[in-house]
Amino acid sequence: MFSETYIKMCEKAEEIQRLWEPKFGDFVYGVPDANGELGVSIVLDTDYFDYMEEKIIRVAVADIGDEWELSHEWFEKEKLTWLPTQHQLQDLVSKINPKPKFWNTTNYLLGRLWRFVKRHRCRYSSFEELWLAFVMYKLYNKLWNADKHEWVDWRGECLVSFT
Amino acid sequence: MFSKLYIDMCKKATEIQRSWKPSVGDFVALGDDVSVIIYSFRRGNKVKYKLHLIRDREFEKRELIWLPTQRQLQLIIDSHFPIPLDAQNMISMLYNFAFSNEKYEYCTQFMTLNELWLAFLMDRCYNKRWDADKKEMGRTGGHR
Repeated sequence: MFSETYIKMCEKAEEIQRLWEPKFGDFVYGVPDANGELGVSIVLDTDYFDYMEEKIIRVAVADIGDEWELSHEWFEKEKLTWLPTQHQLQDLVSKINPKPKFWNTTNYLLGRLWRFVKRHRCRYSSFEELWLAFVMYKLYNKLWNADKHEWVDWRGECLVSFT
Repeated sequence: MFSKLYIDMCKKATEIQRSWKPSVGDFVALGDDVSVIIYSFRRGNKVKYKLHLIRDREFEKRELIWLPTQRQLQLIIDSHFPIPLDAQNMISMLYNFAFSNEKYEYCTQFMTLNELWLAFLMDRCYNKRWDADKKEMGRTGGHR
């Protein structure tokens, strides 16, 4: 469902993870399956618990790896990696970097993404990767370095991003 | 998460609904409410589904309106092409669709990319367009 590269990009996008306010329908990575392997799950409920004078958000997640099984467990937010959907990434960039007056939101976003693709000659294997790269660039001036598997500050040079 | 317009468009996109193979994690509409499939099981010769927060009922596919994510819409579009498309090819096609002289006005009604991707899919793959007055997907007359 989500590429390994996208999961890695999300894990390393600390700025995006800090913005996460868990809610129903969010996709997350980090829940172990029966074999102990980590997989992608979906958030069903959230709740707050006081612990050592700190508020901890716990997230109930359902495993979406197996169509016929359901698990419903509580996890601390910090143990999970948020995997924003394309729609959520579009919301993020729209909220923090709003469109100019008189522009249609959709056309504005699409136009900016198109310019980003052309300017940086990006080649991403999925739209999630492309949108996350665009959000990191617009909001934090960072680009994904596929060789080093990390976000790097963009200093004006034209990075070619292949994943 | 999903706009009212998007839910209406999905209801009337019968080709999309027919092609749906439900799985856990899929978003669905019940009226204007959005839920997610959390459990599926077979009872007799029918597959039933349990939805988040609706504990007391089991549903069949025909009762649910599938709300595909953008990723799912892109996979459907990709399946209509003989060779796999990468994200850059697809964004180029969507850009040309939304900013073409012929379709620009039509596309300005779509306020989210969910709506725009669905409109693009229906136009490109099924020759249909969203009619906002009638609230249905109408034939385009074969022109793209």
